[in-house]
Amino acid sequence: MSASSPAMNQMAAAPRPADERIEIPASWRIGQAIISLVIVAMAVYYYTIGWKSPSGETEANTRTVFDATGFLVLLGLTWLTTPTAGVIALTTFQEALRRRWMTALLAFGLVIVALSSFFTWMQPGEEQKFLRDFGLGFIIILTILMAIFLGVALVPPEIERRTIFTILSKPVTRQEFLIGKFLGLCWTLFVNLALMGLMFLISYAIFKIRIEKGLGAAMSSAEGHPGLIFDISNITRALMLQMGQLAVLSALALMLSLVVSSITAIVFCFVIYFGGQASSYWEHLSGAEKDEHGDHVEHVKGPIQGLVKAAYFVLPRLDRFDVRERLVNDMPVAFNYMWKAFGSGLTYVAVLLAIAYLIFSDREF
Amino acid sequence: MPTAETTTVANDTAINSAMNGAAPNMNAESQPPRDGAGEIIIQTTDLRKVYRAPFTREGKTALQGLTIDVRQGEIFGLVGPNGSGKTTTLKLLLGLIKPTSGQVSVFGRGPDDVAVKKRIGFLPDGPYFYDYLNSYEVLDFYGRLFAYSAEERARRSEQMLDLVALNKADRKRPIRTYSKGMMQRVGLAQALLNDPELLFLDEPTTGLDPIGARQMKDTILNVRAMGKTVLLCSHLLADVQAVCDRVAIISEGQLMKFGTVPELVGPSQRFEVFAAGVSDGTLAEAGQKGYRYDRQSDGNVAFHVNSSEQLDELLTFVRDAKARTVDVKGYSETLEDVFIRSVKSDGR
Repeated sequence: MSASSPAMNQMAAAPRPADERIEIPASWRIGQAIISLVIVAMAVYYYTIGWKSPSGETEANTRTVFDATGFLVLLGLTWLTTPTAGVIALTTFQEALRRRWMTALLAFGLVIVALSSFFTWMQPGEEQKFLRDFGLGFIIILTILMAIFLGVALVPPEIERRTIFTILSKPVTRQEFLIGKFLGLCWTLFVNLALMGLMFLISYAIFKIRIEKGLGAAMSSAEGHPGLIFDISNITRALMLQMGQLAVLSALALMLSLVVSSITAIVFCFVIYFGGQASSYWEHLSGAEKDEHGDHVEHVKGPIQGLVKAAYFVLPRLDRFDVRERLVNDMPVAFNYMWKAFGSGLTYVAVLLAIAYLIFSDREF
Repeated sequence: MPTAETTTVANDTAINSAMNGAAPNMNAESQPPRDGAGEIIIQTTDLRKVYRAPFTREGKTALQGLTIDVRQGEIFGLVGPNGSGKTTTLKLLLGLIKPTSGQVSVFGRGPDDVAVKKRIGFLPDGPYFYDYLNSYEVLDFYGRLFAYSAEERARRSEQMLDLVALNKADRKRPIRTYSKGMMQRVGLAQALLNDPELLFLDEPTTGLDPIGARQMKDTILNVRAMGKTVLLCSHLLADVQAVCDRVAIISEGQLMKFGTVPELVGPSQRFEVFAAGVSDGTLAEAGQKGYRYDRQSDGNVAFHVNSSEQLDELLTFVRDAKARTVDVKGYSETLEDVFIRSVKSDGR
């Protein structure tokens, strides 16, 4: 430390900024406005024609309040993301990428996905269906592990290592810190999912072209066998839905890590994940469905029914994000189906982040 | 056991300087007044903090009605034994925790106000950073939080790393390979990055070698010389005494002593004057005047007096006796003495 160095003199001479707040640059605001316009355009599309299922599909031909809240949550997140939150997100992303176990997991995932066609011998005659199921399932499991293990390690290590002291003593609000951490994790997961997804799509396309004996045959949609374009489009949509599931699990892991220890948070995350995957069973058991006469069907009664109903309403509907069954059966994953999953998922994310903020804003370090 | 600090001086002016605890290398003209006369920028009023475990009523009282003020342009020392409430006070001032009762204001605002954070710098005790980044990347990250442009971040990072004298070869190594002292230097660099008006330093010399510790002290004094304010928490009371204008001693969460360093330690009470060429006749005369003395192995004589008035008389006596004064040592009560006495009176 050179006490009277030129650096010290320059520091003394540097003019102080007159403003008291960190100004948000106009370019950032323009970016937020463009993203908002895209979200609004999506909402307009959804509420005009997007909510209707394609011909022959009626599964999601309803509109609920969660469809609208999903758009509002996206808009809210867009405008709450300040440049400071962006900096935190970028650093979170960089930190995650430099974790050795993350790199190892990604490399392992890429290798398995690239070689996934070698496992098709396990289901002769249904190779393509098996490949879609196996490849997507593998990516889902791997990215869920990443989301949970990275999610619970977002904030607690910052507190344990006391890096949070130097960050929160800078012009950073706790809200910006939390949103930045969440978005950084989402971006990390997106990059991993995109890399593995791309590898899987290439692997699948090569396999299909090889098994159909040529590109032309692979592209043509023969009866009962949709073409390559349909498959790629469907797999891409399934990957997008997986991103929704990862966002929910990230918010869940982040929130839980602020309340309980990392190990407990991991256990809770898995319990809620499996519970959420079974939400259609909770719905079925809770009697929240009607028979062909329009009467409510009751499978369990009394306090048990109350518990099952509570589980159905509290747990996220994660089964909506997993469309492997549709992929295996060559059913299209339409926009209205996707948005239903995203709408409820984003609402869940907003609730989890709000709880996380309430806990974090009062947290003492 | 109380210890006494020894200051070697060559003349009366230097003696007074040593008594006041001023650093010898500082230009007196560049110093702001050391009596705390500047504008109040930190104010705590009856500040109380109780840590409570979740779902319990009982808690540990970390701070009991702390009322202090820190004024612009001073170096303020906060000292106390382990668990006395120093770090709690610092955290309250930084908005990292909330008071149970009482008030705290920094620059007239709440401590968690973003506008306040733009004007402060903080070096925590044993700073830790993202260990996969190098020192440039760490400072770039903090620069981004202040919304500096890329050029500004690069300029300030280089400038701060020069200031804390971090070896150029080490700057591009990952932080996880750094020693504690190097980490401390990066910690100071990030604290000074935004040219703060108010600097919080928690144990700033921890992990530094003697040269690094001395450079840190000089840096603190230079920061003050630029009109900035420093709040310093340290266990090293000699350092605190050497650099601080005012000091608060806290123990068990209570303010024990608060004032300027001279107010707390008082003037020097005992002096030694070393003289050469003192004849036996002069010694006999000195004995008659009541001066205590010892003949040293090198032939010099060490005279002992117990007040500054006696010191003046003794120096005149030595000069009149045609002897030569070769050294004067002033033994004053130190901050450590005051600190130990305060803490012991608290029943510890």
